[in-house]
Amino acid sequence: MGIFGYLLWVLPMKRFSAWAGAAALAMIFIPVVVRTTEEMLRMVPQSVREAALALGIERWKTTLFITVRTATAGIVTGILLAMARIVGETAPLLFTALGNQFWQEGLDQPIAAVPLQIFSYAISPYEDWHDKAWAGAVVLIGMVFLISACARYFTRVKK
Amino acid sequence: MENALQVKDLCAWFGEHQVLKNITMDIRRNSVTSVMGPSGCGKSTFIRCLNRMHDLTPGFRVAGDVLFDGRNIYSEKIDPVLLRRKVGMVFQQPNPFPRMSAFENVAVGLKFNGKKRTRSEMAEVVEKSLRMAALWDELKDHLDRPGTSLSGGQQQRLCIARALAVEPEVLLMDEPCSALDPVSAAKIEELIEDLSDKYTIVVVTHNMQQAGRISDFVAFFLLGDLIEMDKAAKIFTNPADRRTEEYITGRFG
Ligand SMILES: Nc1ncnc2c1ncn2[C@@H]1O[C@H](COP(=O)(O)OP(=O)(O)O)[C@@H](O)[C@H]1O
Ligand SMILES: [Mg+2]
Repeated sequence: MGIFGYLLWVLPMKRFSAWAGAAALAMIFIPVVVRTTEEMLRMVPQSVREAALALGIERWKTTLFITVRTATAGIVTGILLAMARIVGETAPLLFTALGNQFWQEGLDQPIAAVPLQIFSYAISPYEDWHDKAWAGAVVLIGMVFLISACARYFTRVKK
Repeated sequence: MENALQVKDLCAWFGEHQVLKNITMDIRRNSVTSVMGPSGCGKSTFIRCLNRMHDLTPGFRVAGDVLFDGRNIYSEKIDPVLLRRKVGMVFQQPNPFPRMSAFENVAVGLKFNGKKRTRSEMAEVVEKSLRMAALWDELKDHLDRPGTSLSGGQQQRLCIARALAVEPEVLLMDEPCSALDPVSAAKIEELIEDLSDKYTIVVVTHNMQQAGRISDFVAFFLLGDLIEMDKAAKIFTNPADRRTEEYITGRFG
């Protein structure tokens, strides 16, 4: 995926950039989300659709507002799983966003990313940097945890 | 007009399999008409023809006419969506919308039918519908509970309230009590009797006693044919057809 992103964006643009990194991650993210969403919508029982139909609700409104709503929990979970999946991606970013130790000047420039930072610290020869890599990992886990917590919050049944 | 629905020579097929054969019947306005018959004889198929619920079933085909207020509902000019707002339906399994509160469940039909309503107008309709469905007193302090957290009988009455909220003229009910305990079923029965002052009700049941208690008219189906239809008293005391008699005396079915 990283190499693909490299060929598709980095070479034509002649530079590593945040955009290329985002595009590479999106290529992992979007298919996963689409697939789980489709699956979740399919799992909504026919009786729900029939109930909406029998109330004189148009089919497109039924799908958009009722079927999707019934499947919200599943869809959000799918999105979060996909997010959790790409949060830790290092390889695609290595080939596209590259990483950046300095101040960010724009999204068309190489950009820093936590997994990249962990990667470069971890392969370094210094004890001190290893510690920083561990700290980075904690930050990453914290972010994943936060995402999941948000998901929980938004998918709870409204009281 | 005296009849809310007039069915003329209605035939229906699932693929090659003919499920309804030349059904002709009139359904009297503001009365309860029960559709009876052994399982698989086409009762559900029949009442679903009355509000075009089969439109999306692949391979389904009808012939014949169903007149609602004198107009054929299968004509090109009829919008099935508008038709279903006039001819509502309650299903065998209570099916409140998951992830919606009781209030939202009742309000949902109004919310999507185009007309703008204020919050208080909405609340008014919800209260009125719940009262008609004999659920208001039990539920007025719990309107924000999820619809699916109610008991089975309450869920079914919630579904009735939901159907009433869009102000239909006809209510089709496909075995509305068969998934409920006897006490809840009795409440629904009582409700059907009350509602028949204002609504035309067609109810599928294969509970003989229930049909006897609630119906003004009974239609007896067998293998896709309408065997006979008459006043409930007549059907239960002196049916014209031997097969009807055999069914109501419990000799088959
Ligand atoms: N969606 C469907 N596809 C194909 N056949 C069906 C479908 N629904 C019902 N049938 C058939 O139609 C016949 C009548 O079914 P139904 O109307 O559900 O009977 P009832 O409600 O009287 O028990 C049955 O033989 C059933 O197998
Ligand atoms: Mg049935």
